[in-house]
Amino acid sequence: MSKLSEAAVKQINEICDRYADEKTPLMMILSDIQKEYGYIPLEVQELVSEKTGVSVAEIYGVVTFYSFFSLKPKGKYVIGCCLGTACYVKGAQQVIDKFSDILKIKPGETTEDGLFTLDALRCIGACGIAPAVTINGKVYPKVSVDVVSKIVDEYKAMGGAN
Amino acid sequence: MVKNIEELKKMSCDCSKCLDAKFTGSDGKRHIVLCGGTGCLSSNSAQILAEFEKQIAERKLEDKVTVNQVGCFGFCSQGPFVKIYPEDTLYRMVKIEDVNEIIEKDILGGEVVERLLYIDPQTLEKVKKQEDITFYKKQVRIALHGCGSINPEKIEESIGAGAFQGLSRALSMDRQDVINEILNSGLRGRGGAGFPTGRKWQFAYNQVSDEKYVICNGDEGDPGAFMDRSILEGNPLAVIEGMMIAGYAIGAKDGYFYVRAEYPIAVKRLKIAIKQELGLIGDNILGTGFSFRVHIRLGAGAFVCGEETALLNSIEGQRGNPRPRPPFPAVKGLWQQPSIVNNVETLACVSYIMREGFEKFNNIGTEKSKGTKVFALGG
Repeated sequence: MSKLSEAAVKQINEICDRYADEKTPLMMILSDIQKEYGYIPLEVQELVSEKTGVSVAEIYGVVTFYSFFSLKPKGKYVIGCCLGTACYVKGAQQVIDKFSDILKIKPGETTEDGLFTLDALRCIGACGIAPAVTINGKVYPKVSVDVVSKIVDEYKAMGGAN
Repeated sequence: MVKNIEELKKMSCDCSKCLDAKFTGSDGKRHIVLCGGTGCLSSNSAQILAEFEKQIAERKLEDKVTVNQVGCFGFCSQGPFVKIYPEDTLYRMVKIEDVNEIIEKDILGGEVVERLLYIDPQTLEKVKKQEDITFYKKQVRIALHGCGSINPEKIEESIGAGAFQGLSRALSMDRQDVINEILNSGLRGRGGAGFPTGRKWQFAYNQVSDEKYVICNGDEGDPGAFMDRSILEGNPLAVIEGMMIAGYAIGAKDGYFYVRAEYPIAVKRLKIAIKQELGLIGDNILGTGFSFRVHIRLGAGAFVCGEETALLNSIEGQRGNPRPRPPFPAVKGLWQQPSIVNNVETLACVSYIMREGFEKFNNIGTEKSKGTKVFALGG
């Protein structure tokens, strides 16, 4: 527990309290922590366990089961490449490979400067505009290999890591 | 606050007049609507909407022209769409730069901007109205009722399009009769397995318990499928209403939406629809004594959670491992209580059936599967 700052403890407590009235709110708590704190390391899981009474083993099981939860910090910009069938046949594999080449990370990894995380997504239901890429929730339609470096540059220009 | 069925009738009537005025232009105005589905939003439809608003304000046209966002038009590859009422002119693949021309030429000049019209790939002719496009010609929109024509973030427009009329009819009926209505409609689950919805409800109805639950499965994850997303983004209230009708029928007081986190716009619009402060969700709905609360739970990127028992585990804060069946959810579902899990499209059909009567639904479809089915085309 010692690793968590006072501010972090306060933040996690506050998130847990939000769902005090809900039955079995673990997923909601973890989703909010992932979104607001950025990741769910063991120390955070211990705190959630204390607040909710759910064992750390169970929480760890849940965190590692769902692909949206992460034990490590994610980058400031999370690039998600949809690899659903429609996007795949429209060249999504080449698009994610190109991101991988440019950023020098594999899917699931984060750049050393903490700026980018690259994720492979299952179908996001935007098949009419395949291949689709999302960056922090913003959807880019019909992404081709040629525009990948331009997209990366845009975000690089926008700003440094946290 | 809408306190009883009479007040709802009056509100429906007022709202539907407003909506009709928009479609027919009987209020003397022109109405611009933009598609606000995921596909069109990714092609900047929100920015185009802002540009329309800006230019309309600059030209002081606010009294003569309105601009609104609506749900998915269902033709994402041709997006973003802009539609002008009452002429019903449909512009496709609109860019921010086109806004000025649409206002100058169409809104002010009364002329159609030919170059933005859809071109029929077979005849190569330009098509002005949506209803004349071959893709739309044979469509009958039941589950997609309201999608692409109402603003999903304005409850008045949903009510104008008939929301809560099905519920209000259900509440005046015996619970068993509501189930019979669904049985007679021939509706089968739209999630894939095609189980008769009425029979599923009957199982849960027959269980004796103070606690029962209705769950809406919005974890649509099959690659290439986005029917449920379009419905949730285009008319979330229709699905909520279907859930409430199911709740009344089986004797549940709580409903849970399980929506995948990959659908942020659907989640946002569901939340707006649930938060409406008309007293139509919550305690003593329409003064009938029926109470129903609606909750939202998000998925976290696990495909298997679309399977109903894995979904129940996920709501319970566990890993999404499927449970052995039996016991089926209708006997032991969420928190071991009798529960029904229905798909988004199924529940949207339920509100239509209760509003329009089962015969209208039953008239469409094949011998063993009645009603319409939404299909998603992509790639």
